[in-house]
Amino acid sequence: MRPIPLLLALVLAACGDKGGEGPSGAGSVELEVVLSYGAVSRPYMPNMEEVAKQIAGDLEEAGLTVDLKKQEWGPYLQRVRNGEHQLALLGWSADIPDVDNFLYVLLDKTQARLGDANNISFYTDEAVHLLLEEARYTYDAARREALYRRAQAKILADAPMVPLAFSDRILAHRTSVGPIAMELITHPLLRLATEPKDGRIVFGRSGDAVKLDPAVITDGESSNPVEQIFDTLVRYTPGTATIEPGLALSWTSNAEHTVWTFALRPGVTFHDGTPCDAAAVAHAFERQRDPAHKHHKGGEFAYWTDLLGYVERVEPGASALEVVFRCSRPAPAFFVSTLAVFSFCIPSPTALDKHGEAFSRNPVGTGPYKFVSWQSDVEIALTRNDSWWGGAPAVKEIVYRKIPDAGTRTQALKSGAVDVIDNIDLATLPQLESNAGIKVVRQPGMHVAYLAMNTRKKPFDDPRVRQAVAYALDKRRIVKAGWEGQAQPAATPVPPNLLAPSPDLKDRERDLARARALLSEALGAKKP
Amino acid sequence: MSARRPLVKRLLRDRGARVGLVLVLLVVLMAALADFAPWGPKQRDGALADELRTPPSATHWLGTDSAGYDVFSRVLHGARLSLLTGLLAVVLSLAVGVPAGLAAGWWGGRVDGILMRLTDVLLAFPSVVLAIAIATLFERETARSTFERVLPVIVAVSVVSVPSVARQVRASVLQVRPLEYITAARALGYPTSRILLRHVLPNCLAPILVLSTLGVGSAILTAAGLNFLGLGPEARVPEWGVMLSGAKSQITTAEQWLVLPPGLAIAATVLGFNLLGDGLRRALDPRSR
Amino acid sequence: MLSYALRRLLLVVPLLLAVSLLVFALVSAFPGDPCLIKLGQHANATSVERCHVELGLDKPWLERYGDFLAGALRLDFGRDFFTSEDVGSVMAKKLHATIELAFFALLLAWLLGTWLGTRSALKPGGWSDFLGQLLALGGTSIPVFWLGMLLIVLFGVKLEWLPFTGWTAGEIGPGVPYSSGFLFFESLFRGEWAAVSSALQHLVLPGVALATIPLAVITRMTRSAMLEELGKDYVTTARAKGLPERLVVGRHVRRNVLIPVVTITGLQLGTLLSGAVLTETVFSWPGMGTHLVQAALQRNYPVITAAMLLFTVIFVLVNLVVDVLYHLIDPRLRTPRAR
Repeated sequence: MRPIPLLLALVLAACGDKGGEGPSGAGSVELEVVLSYGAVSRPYMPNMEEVAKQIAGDLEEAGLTVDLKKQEWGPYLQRVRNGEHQLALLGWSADIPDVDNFLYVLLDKTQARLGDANNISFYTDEAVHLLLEEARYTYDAARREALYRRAQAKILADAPMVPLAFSDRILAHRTSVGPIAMELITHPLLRLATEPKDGRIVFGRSGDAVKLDPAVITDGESSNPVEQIFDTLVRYTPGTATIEPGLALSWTSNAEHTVWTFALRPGVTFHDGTPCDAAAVAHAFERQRDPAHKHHKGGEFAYWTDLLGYVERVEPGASALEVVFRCSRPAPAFFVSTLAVFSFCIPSPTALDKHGEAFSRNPVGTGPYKFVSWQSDVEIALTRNDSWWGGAPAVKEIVYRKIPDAGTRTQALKSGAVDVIDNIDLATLPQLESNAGIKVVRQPGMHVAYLAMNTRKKPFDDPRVRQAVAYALDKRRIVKAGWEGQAQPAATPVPPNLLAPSPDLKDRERDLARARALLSEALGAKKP
Repeated sequence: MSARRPLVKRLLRDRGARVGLVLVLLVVLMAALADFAPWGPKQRDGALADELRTPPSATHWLGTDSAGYDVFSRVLHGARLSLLTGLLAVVLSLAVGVPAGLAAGWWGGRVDGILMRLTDVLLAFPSVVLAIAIATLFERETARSTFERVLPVIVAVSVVSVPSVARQVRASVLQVRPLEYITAARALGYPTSRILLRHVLPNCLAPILVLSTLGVGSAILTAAGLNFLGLGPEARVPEWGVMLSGAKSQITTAEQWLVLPPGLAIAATVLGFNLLGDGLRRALDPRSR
Repeated sequence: MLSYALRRLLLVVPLLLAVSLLVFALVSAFPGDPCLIKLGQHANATSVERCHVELGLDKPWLERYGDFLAGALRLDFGRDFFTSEDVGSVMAKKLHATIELAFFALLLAWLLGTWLGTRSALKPGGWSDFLGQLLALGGTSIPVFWLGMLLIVLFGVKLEWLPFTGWTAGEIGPGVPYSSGFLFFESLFRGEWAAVSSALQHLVLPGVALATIPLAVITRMTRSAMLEELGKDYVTTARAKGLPERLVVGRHVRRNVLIPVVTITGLQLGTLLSGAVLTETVFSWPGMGTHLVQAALQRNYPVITAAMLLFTVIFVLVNLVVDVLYHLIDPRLRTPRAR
């Protein structure tokens, strides 16, 4: 049969077609690496695929051969946390606005445990570990900052990862509502909106909440309504990363930072009338801490272990308005900020008793808005709490509506079907910004997108190879492709609004010759 | 064998077949010339500084895509992968379907019953649904080269088309089996293998040829669909379905023309094989209109 | 007649059993440990082991198949690996969305196809005949996902005439308390006219794209059945008696043409469902197709199994119904077939 030779020729052509046909074969090191990425859009990296394609192109121009591997988010995350990747794209959104939440989480050796690693470069430098550990328990701000700068310089030299970009958190709202500001960490504080007075705001977003029980959720779609329904002991001053009193009016600690006493705001009640006293607050924390607690459920409460694992016990203090946290070791310098995380919202103990597990669909808190109804996959409705301790909000009703497609969401905003949207397709922003009835709000985000290099795997165990990768990347073009040019190229893993970059710290500019030299030096040295 | 010359003549007299042949030859030409394309399939133009997506120009005849790759060159390389997929899928489905059909038709009885019930089971699935599962089944973490990456899809597409091949062969065997020359061959005590290969199979060739030609077209179409869904090779591989899936992610924003080249290429290729297959059918069976 | 239906039904049972076995075998042979995928970031030796017990992966294969079959018969397919939702009830809503899309596409293809087929049979060589042939070629050669993208670019993005995404309750009928995934039918039933009109607009583009698949076959089938029927004696007689052409075609011919066309439409369901998988992906239609593809890419085992099984059961059952109906409509076929 005649097709057979043709077929064979095709097979051979396709087999040989590994694709690394860079512009020139000069300096090629004949090394193939795999770059993994997730098939998702994350706030810190809206288009992983375009970023991956750019990086692959950049690296191939430096002489490596790159194979891309795309996976769905769940399996992908599992794969990288198990350390199965060579190169991987990922990012991090801060839980608390603290340098520790970036450097310690992403690059400390304690975070490099296979299976549940956050440090997916598996970077285990001892000097960096000691610096980060010391900084955690340094309560003097200036001294802390100095420690972080030293750690950051060492990290940059070792290049376990290449920070790619810092992007903005963006939302758009109709000018008929608002003003609605984007916060650094939390979702927009809808209680601050002044228009429409006694009216309604419809919030269009890409997904539905999973649950509305603050203690068990981990996703943004759930935490958004939760933050309106509940209060935390402390909260951020709007527009900043500084802490101000919430349900707690003041706090003190002993000299060792192991016992912390919080004085509660008097006269606060939950939406169901239960008083929010020391017993209720202690109940909220003990439920997460104590596996024997009647409302504790195994496997959940992920944030407790990650963020408050050192707390031994939370109990009512001397008066009904005093709560005491007892820690097994000194609490880190950012302990109080941790209590502003949505996971540590205070739920009504009566409602928990009443609903049991169904509490997550019948949330009762102390917050500025009360839960009204939830139609799965469609909408969640809230109404204002007229007796909120901070004063009743101006807007009466909040509706969260699920509109999964970004284009449709934009359309709905333009037509007035919804008043606020987030998760906006960057390419449509200019068009929204030119619309007189719409205001686009940007806020530099507390997140970073980066390329992780698995230091446990060859060839990235060699710092010269990692440095070569850093020299090969063209961050300006990566930002162009992955963020439509609307992000800042990142020199460090810590956003500049948290730790202003030191003037003496310089990022690697793209230098292909240098990258090639480093590669052939590293790989040549390996060959016998 | 003497029937071959009139067949080609008859084929060339058929307008549909002529158009089909031209289209198929065009795709083969594209595949053959891919190495002489102006750009490599993963080669970026260093002159593209700020804007990676550019409209068609003198240097990039069909423009560049979101990663800065030359679309025209990638379409040429895509022809290579598509032809490979279509032909290999058909060969694989013949390799399984022809023996199964021969066995079912020749021995009949229980063999026939079992084999045909098996095809019933495969035919009970909507084809894409079955193909998705099979492509997932054969996906390997360790797959590196482009060929290894497209192999699961090729296998999936070929499994899906096995039942129709087997049934066609079986029907042809049943037609031939009672004929006198077969009875004579059996009476002479020829071994079954010889009868099947020398006497039965040649009489099944015409319908198999038609089915295979049409099969290449539909295999290319299904494979492009699976690749479009993300079950095939990685995002930078110059495959038409993959290119379309890349174009889809930017369909609402800009550069919608990126949708055109790979889609046209798929449609033209599939149309070519379909026209050629229909023409072959007419040429081989003068009775049909 | 009833006995025929019963006999066919009995034949379907072993087929479905075999299908379920194949689906189960395929999914259990997928590479990788489902528990590692399910647990993701929480995986460790103990939790993986507990998960194995929970999913019954420690049991022998045949027993697991038995459990799966018993569950499937109660429509219990377990819980989604990632959302922990009940797979069956989520699938029901997805199925509703797919049914509405497929129904609309089939309706469109049927109306246009029979009209075009009839016309081209009555005037062979005319423009409608040419159009029919063009459609037949296009329907088998043009990738449906590409056609969908072209429609999106032209009517959705450039002209902004029609929506091309957004088939969710919140967008079709904000505030309507839907109890099913039938957004169109339920809006109609509740008399929510704004929602009905919105649903119709949303259905047009994906409906048209998907309709091209059965359209080609329906047109061709109508045409050839029509030609065959027109050549029969009774037509000549009716025409000779001076019966108006409209009556000849409308009253007599069309009814007889209906039978083969209905059959072919039913048999097209497999390609229609295949096409729906691709069409849904292009239009982000929240149906079974997108659900299956997503699940396959995520290795969401329970969802893949349930979706494959459901797709196939629907296909088999519709074929059964069509077959039985065929026998019901055409009395000539009622005599037992000789084999």
